[in-house]
Amino acid sequence: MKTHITKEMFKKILESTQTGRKKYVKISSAHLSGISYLNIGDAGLEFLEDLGRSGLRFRVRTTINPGCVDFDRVFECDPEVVEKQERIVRSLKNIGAKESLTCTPYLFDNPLRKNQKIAWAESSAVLYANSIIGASTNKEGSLTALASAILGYTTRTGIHLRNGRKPRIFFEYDGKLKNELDYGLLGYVMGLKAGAEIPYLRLKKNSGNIFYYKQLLAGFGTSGAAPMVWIENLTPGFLRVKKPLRKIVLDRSELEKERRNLSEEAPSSRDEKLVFITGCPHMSLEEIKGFQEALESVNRLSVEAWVFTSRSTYSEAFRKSLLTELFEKGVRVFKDSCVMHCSLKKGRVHVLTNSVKAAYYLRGALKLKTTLKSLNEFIEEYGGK
Amino acid sequence: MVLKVKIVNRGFAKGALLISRQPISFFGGVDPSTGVIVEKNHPLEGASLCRRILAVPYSKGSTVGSYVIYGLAKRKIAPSGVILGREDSIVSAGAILGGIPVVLADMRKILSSFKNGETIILDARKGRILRPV
Repeated sequence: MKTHITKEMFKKILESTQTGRKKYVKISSAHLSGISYLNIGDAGLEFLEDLGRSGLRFRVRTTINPGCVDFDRVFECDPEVVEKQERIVRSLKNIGAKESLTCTPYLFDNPLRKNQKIAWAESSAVLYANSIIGASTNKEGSLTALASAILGYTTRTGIHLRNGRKPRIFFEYDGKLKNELDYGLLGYVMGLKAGAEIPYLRLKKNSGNIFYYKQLLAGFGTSGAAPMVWIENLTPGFLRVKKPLRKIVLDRSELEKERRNLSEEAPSSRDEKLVFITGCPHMSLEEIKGFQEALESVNRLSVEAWVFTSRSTYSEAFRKSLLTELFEKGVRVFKDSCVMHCSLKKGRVHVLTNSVKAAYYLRGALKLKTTLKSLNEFIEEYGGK
Repeated sequence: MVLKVKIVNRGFAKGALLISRQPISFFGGVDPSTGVIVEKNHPLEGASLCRRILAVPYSKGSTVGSYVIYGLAKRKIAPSGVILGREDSIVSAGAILGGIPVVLADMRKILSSFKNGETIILDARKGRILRPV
């Protein structure tokens, strides 16, 4: 059958998500999910190739999520998967997508400014764009983000409405947050309790490390449905709340409970292959630098360590010689792909990770065993002198 | 018997009604090369969606389900029409891409007005479901 994907179809897709009068808002940037062949399979590949032949083009700057293959380390994956992942990327590139292959497009590939209206899929990037940069996007689905990229507008719903950024629930956390894992756990706990409501968060003391919030927001995006978190003294913008919000005080025990829920007893590395995975969401330059510095204190690692990042960040890090230490200690640095990596699909691997989001999906989608460990805990336990 | 329904994707279809009381996962739960429901222990396991008018409360599972529906339509083995019990962006988007008419209806009314397997007309231009005369 001759395929005929038209602009009209994408208009209808946006229409079908709204009831009543249809309203739209112009956007200047899009980010697409549903890129990995492991996720979309042959059905998605077929659709994206038809789209590539449809003559349609993206009307705004459009970046794409990671796939499941690092194109410089293709030998680690089934050749059929590599070939199909390549075809997916080629199709999207042909109609105007930037070959970013990252879940952190806000770092290099699709930079944003405050108040910019955008249509992004990928929950962790949506949360970051709204809460840290002050841009505006709903949590778009793969197809609504695609429709918006083609049409140049999205539905005026949710966060794009007059009161769409208002928090409805107030979280206070008085305890200590030691590291990136604690922040991730706090975000995850907040998401479980907030449901679809935008929370306001007050900490005893804000961290100076912006990337701790990246973990907090990725954790929140995993368990919650809201597109943003108002973080006191951090989220840009002006907020006026008339009614006092429903207040929930969170404590350490709730973080520990979720940590246990996402952790198995780590085995002695003899019975199962142990791998430490970090870079979910993709590591920034600063995070790579932090890892490099932490590695300087040890001579070797007793288990494998994998780092995931974008090809843009990789090039920058390489240029600034931030990767040498990692290579010397045997750390494998992946780009273009994410922790839902082709080689983990059927592996008997027990994953140690500092990412709550990674643990959640590796358990759920790939049925792997996981144990949560912060970066420093990992180096202390598995680094040798 | 004429049942008024809400239009999601316009079109017109006639075919045998297939009622699923349980939600369907199109990704993983339906064989994309045959259109047969393959989810283990699903009440409709083994049933074919091909050219039926599918009444389903909603879909479940991966959003990739949209692409599966599109693929079925391309191979001409998709349902010829879909009646949804509530709004469902996964089914709606797939059906729009595949050119399949979709309406929203009260599932209880469908169950009380029509029999599974009987031939019905899904008129998603005027927003109604009826029996052919």
